[in-house]
Amino acid sequence: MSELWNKIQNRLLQVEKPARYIGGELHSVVKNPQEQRVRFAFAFPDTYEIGMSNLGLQIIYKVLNDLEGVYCERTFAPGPDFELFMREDNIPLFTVETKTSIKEMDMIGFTVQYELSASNIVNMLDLGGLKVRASERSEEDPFVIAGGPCTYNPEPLADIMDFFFIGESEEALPELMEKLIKWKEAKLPKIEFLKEISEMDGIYVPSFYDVTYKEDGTIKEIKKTYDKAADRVVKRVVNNLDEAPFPDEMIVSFINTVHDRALLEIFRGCTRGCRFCQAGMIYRPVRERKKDTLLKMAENQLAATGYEEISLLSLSTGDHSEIEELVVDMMKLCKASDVSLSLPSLRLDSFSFKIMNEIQGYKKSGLTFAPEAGTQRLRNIINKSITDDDIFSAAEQAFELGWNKIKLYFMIGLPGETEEDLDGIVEITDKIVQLYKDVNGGRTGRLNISVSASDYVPKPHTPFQWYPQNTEAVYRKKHMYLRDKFRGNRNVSFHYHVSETSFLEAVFARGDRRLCDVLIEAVKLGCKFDGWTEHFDFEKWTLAFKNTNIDPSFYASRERSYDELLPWEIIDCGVTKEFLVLENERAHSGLITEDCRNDCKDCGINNKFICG
Amino acid sequence: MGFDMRYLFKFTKNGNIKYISHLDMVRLFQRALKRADIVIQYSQGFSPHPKMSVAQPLSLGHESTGEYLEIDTVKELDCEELKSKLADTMPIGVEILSCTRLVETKKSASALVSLSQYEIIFSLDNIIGEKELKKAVEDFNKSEHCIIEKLQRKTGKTVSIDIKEFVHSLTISDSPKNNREGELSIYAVINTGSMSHLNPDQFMTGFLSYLPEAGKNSSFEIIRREMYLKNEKNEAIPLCNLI
Repeated sequence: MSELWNKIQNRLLQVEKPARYIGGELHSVVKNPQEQRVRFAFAFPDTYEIGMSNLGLQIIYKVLNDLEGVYCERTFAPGPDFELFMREDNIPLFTVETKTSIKEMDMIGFTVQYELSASNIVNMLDLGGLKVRASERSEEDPFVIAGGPCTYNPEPLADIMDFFFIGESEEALPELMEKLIKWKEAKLPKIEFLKEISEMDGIYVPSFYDVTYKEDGTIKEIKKTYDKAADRVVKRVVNNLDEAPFPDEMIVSFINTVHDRALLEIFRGCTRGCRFCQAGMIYRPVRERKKDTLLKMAENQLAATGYEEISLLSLSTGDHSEIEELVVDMMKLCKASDVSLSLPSLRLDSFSFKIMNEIQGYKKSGLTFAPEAGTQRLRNIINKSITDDDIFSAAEQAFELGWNKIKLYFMIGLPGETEEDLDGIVEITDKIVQLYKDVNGGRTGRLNISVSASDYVPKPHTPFQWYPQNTEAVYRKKHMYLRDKFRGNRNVSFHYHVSETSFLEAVFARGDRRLCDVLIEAVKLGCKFDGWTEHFDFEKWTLAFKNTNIDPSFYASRERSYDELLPWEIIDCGVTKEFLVLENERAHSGLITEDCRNDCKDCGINNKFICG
Repeated sequence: MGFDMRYLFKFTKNGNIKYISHLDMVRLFQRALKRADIVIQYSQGFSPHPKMSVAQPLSLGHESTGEYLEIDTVKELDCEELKSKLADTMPIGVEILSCTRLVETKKSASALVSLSQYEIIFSLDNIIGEKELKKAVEDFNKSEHCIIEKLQRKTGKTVSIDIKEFVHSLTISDSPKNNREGELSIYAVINTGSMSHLNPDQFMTGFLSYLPEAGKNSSFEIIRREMYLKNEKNEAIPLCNLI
């Protein structure tokens, strides 16, 4: 082990950000490996700086390390520069706490936050000296598992993972570890462990299901090969979030991470029912943490970390039932501790403005609005409950209070979209510029509007999951169309992403098991860090699809019918198919479905979980 | 206000912490001070920043037992208490060696630094032994000039500099007891700071030319031991002696 560390140290001064690999951070856990009964590696499939901003990592790290006899360490995708040395010097992928090769772990858990992390997952297994496919790994190899939002369609990784954990793991992990310890000490074959845990809620063992296909390429049948496995895997949910474990002592990185701040998860789930939003569907039901709990958590976290900023996290912060008092009390706490408060995901109402004005004080940074669609008509289709009036009065208020920087988020390629909706994006922006002029006596010198148009990716478990994604060619045309319309407008900067990335996201979000061959081939050809523009290589992916004889547009751009057996139907997120169909039909008629917080819309979640 | 409540800490940077940058260290201390509930004064003006500084960046990968942190607090605090509060919240490798209150020093201590002492520990082998190192040190001290090529990052051009202008003194360890078996140290006191600066890697580039050709790839470790300022009599005073 120390021989490995010597090899690593020999290279550290030759790579970018050597601190990615050293561990030793405040609140990182040091346990004696010899005294542990089970060793777990939490594997984040991106660089250290990105992984260390992930709240899930901090929660799971604490939950596992609080268990006697369990040691959870972290491992990340090495920077491409260090990877070259790793391969050259025979340095296997290692954990940052003890610099142990991941191959010596009992279990390696990947979190899949983003569809295109898949190539890094494959690459990391390879760097760990492990066979990528589960079927090729030996009895001595660690279990390789995955969790996180993208596992709600686990199929593209089905040949790679021994099992998936679907849903929230805070309460299930101790149970899982207990079983793992017992199994290890009984020295049974791996299949016995898999059989036992497959009877737990939230555990999906892909090898216990056979998938067969029709001639047209769609799925014919998903058949159980182990009779005690679940017909459909029901996600795991923490019922009482207020009492669920949450780390006060989060690991504080030495180097800059994406978010260097204390994090407070104020509630899970969402009742708005926006039809494009997967998170709003899969994180149901809504569970809140109480205001007093949150204030205590904030105090403890700030005292333990020394962070100068704290952020409240949820899908729609303004919807917390105690938000007004919570924010007022948080601001008092922040003022007293000289800490700044960050409130992403706020609604655009007068309360929010009062708050934002106080928070940002005289030195205002930007405000973000997410109209998502350019017209009311399209907003009704996607069920995004924000009106033109909301947008304009919010902008006006913002300008009156002294803001000069606004970010507007839109999506393009939404179901039912016409050219008028694209024009609507421009009209909204123009009107906001005009409002600024009205408030600022005709001057626009300091006005800075950033308009961002994302390519829509229809996601599993949403009412739009049957919708074909716009092709890359169509997206490119729409980018050009908007870019031309915004040209010459000195106060507006228009942003869009490379359409090939969105296309590939759709392929993996909506794909089936056959994508595994493509994935492995793509990584062989050199694909990795696909979420990074400087590393994403679509030509290699195209070649990988060609070499494996798979047509990616079959997954991304094909319209599905209601009676097609979708790959992700093996996972039950609690929301019924009937509800999704109904919402899709309502979308076609432009009908809004109101917030269900006070008026249940029968999405089905309360069949299996406590809701409302 | 002003310089009334100024404290100077001496600390180490050992072990894996050597792989974090100067800016990371500043951030590390900012958070540590907050955890320890030591409230720092802010500067005036449009863009207020906390009045704290870590003196003189140390190159990534180098260890040190002579680093300094300077802070201005809002309240008067007891040095021993300050030292232990801060020490309690340090990661492994950062040890708080001392805390002094600066009463008479009106200028920023960090800005006063003009010299650093580096210990360079050589791993002796059959090419480089005690004899070769002693001779190299003597030859270096006897030379009038020692020219190296330095790459100017801004312009991309290489310039020649005479490192002898920057080296205050170079000595060899006077007793084998000071080192582990198979190792021997030399001590170089070199100009540091905005007025005149040479980093130890540049010094080594020059010094290695005094070793036999085959020894140019010898392995050594660089540790900063102390920082000094020069008093009115041009004597080198360790920073921790400031009052």
